[in-house]
Amino acid sequence: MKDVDLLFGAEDVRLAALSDAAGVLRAKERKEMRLLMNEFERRFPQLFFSIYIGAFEEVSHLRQFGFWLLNRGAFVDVEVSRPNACGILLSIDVSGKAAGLTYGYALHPFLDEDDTFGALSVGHPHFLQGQYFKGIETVMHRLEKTLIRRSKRAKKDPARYQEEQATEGTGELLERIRSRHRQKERKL
Amino acid sequence: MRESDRQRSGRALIPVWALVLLLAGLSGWVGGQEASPVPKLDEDGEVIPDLSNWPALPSWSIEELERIRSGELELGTALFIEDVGGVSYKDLFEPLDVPEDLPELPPEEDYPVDIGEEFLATYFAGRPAGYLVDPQGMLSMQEQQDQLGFLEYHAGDSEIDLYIYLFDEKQQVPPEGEIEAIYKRHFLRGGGMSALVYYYVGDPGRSTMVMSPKVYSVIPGTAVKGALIYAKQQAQTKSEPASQLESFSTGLSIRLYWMERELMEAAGKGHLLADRNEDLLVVDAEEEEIDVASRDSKVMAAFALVSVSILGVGLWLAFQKAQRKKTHLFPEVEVKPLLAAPHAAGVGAVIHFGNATLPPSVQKEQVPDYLRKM
Repeated sequence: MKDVDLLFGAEDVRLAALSDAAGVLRAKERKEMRLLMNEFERRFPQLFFSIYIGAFEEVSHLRQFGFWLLNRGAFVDVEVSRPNACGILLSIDVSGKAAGLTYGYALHPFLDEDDTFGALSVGHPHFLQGQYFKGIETVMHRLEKTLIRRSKRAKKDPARYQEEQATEGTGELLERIRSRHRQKERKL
Repeated sequence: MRESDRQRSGRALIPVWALVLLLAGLSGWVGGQEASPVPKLDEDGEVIPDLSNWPALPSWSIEELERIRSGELELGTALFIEDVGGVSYKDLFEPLDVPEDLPELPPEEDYPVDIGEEFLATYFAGRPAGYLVDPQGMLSMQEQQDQLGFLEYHAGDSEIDLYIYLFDEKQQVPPEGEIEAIYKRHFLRGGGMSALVYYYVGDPGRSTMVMSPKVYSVIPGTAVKGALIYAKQQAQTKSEPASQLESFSTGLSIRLYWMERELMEAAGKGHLLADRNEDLLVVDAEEEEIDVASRDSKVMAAFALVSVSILGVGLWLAFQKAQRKKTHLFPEVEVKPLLAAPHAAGVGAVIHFGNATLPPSVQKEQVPDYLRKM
């Protein structure tokens, strides 16, 4: 966290859940996107979806930026009952041509990197063509479907997720993530 | 004055007296004519009837008017009273005589259904000399001539000759006179094409038809049947049997003409096609109702399918709408903070879209930089 604070700042930042710093969305699209985000919040009363569109130039910083923003961001138009731990942040770098998804602790038991990659993949064709609104909308819908499935599964067997988290320490979690990355590297 | 002079002057006055008398008679006649009433004319020149001799309008007393208003007295009821003024209407009008020798119609079940043996040879013994076969005299001589003339005209104009055998409305053709057998026996030989029709006078719906096998090499059997059904429908627009036959043969002639055109087009250069090695196809006009029923059933099936589809789509949309209205909750699971981050550990995917030729999986960061730094 200190490293990213050094990169982007150690102070909390106030911003809207939909921040189009790069200015790629039209006014009408921003309104529609806001409606989509409201609908997301209605369907998932504990969660919120936030979008940051900027021009970073440095692609390698995008993941760090998402991580930092979800921890330091104060989303002014999100209800207090929905903390950042319940948030999902889609950050798009229109200069570096990259998009990333980050989610809070509340979703750790229910989402993994593959889910977020799957969601970003369905929006990939639209991002390639510069259709950011369509791409974001597609990513949101895909993520909604995944979350609905996970919610139903958790409703059926909530103890399963509790046990997984209780038996999994931080070191184990990191080890699991790294080992997964190494496996995929070997396949390629 | 002498006597002879008086006589001469008297003879000379005779024409004068005659003229005076003639004038007096004329004036009297003219006067008589002027005495008769001159009819009055209205603006359009129509004669206005003289109502002076008509009976006076009825008049009622005050009591009678009260009874009329209250409905107790009905006007005009006297017209419906059998006895008016003591005279019965039976005495005024003589009843009509009921004819005693009314022709008795045979009951339907006794209606002749068999063809007289004396006609069988004319019908079925050989190929008929004319295009119309009516040995039983179903048509009058004039009607026969007209019909035969039309069929001869058709034969002269078309390559498909049309032969019509006439039977009575309820007659049954004996087994030896089956249309297929007769066609094979008398019409199949030779290179020409012909259509043989058994027509039941008064009931065109019973008609049957068979055609040369050459026709079926191009024209489907359903089209041949359609032609017969069309002719039957044309006949059913008329009520008189002879007119029905006329419409029937006209309609069938038109359809045969179109068949002939298709045959000629199929043959290419005007040469008709070879026989098909198949049995003769006898078509009838009575199966139309079955066709209509099957068509109706198909329409009903299509309608039901569309309805079910619409219902299914509607239910699916309703289900989707209901699903979208549902809210989804997650159980609260305690997660220990990672990487000294208060809200999120940042475990998410990043994807690149700089290269349109590479799939997303190749443009995925495989090793997150921030994890190495941590």
